[in-house]
Amino acid sequence: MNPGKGFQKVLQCLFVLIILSGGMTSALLAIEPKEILTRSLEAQFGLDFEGIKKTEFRLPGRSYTTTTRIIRQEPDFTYTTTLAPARLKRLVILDDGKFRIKHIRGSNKFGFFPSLNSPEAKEIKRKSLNLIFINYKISKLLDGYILARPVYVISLIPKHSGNPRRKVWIDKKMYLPLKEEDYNWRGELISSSFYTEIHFDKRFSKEKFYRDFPQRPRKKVFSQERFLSLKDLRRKIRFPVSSAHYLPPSYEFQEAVLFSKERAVKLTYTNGLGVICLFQMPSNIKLRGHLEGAHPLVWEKGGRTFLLMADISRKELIKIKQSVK
Amino acid sequence: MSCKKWKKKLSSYLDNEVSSRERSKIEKHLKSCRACFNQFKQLERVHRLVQSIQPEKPRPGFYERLSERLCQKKTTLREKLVAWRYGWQLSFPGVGKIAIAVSAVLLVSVSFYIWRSATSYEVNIKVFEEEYFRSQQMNSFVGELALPVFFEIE
Repeated sequence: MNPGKGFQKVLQCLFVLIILSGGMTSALLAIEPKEILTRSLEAQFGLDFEGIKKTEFRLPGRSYTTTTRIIRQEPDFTYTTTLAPARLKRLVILDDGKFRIKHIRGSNKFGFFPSLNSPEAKEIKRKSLNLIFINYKISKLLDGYILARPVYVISLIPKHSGNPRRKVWIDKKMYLPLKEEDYNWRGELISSSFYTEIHFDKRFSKEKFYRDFPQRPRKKVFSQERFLSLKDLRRKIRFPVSSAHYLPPSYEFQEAVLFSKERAVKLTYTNGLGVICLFQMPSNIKLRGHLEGAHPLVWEKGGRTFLLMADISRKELIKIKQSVK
Repeated sequence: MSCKKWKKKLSSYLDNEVSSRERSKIEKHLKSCRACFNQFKQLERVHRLVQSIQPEKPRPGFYERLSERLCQKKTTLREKLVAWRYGWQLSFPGVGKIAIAVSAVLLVSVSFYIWRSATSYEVNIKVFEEEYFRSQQMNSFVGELALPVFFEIE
């Protein structure tokens, strides 16, 4: 036996062993896509950052782009200003964990809505994420870079066809989603948003953001209430509430909301990513204007007007409509 | 006693409404005081003249008509309120009053409800689109989503 050959074989074995152990280690250390999404959700409530985000909305035959400056202070403060287009430049949204206040700068117009940063909202987001784990096939694609930062690329494909899907780029270090692409139930890209600038660990004095906002007690002007059950809602309103008895596979009831000075009701159903909204109100409330983004089903029945909005096929929408009792 | 006081008593003297003692005192003063005497004479003349007038008898049925008119006398607002209060107390004692108050409240509430139902409101359909978008945001795990540009800012 040639001692040189024997040494060569030992080296070859060592090389294979090193490769194998490296692969195994990286496989063991690699984070599951579900874990990445969970960490991402938690990170959004625990980060301080300032960033500029561009969002492109694609409507049939048209597309729009908005640019927003987002300031986030953990755990529950967000301040958003629109930088472009010009007609939305005065729009400011402040969310302090209690209220989400929409304001047109230089005017006395304020819209008060439930916070999207509240513990309740976080709980809803957590529930939705769990639904995503059940109803979507989550896969990790090849890693990439956004703003020279390494990112995980996660793809969410619905297990039941005819539902929206999403692709998200999540920062490997901070777990903040830096880019998202949303596709409708047909698989067409409907919106894409990404940060063009991001600065982490930036702290601001919150007081300066409140300068434009009213000092009066907000409870008095807060006109919207959020409920988690139909039972609570039925106790609160004067007209009978109908609900959908048919839902596409994987959808379930999420919440009931009373809005528009307690004259209209919204029932929300979700599969984690897709949302079905069933609105209803007494028929003496007339609708005016037109929609550009959504094509809802509108009908009247039993002295009430119904509106059904969802990113699902028309056939499914009609099935839901027929099941509303 | 001064003349002023004697003059005041002259009318009573003429009507025989003074005591005999006072009468003599007055007569004594009239004899001694020229001014009071003149005043007395004037008064006496008027007195005599008034007594000479024959009183006219009222027409038949005058007193009956007068009494009737007194009964029909206009009541003042205060009298009306008092009358209403006593009338309310007498007509609806205890539970009756509560029942009337409750009925009044019910009537007002029902009227308001009918008015509210009959009145139509207009709501911009974009409010519903925004609500739909808000539900998507609430559901989204990717944090802050930008508001679609086609939203009305007013």
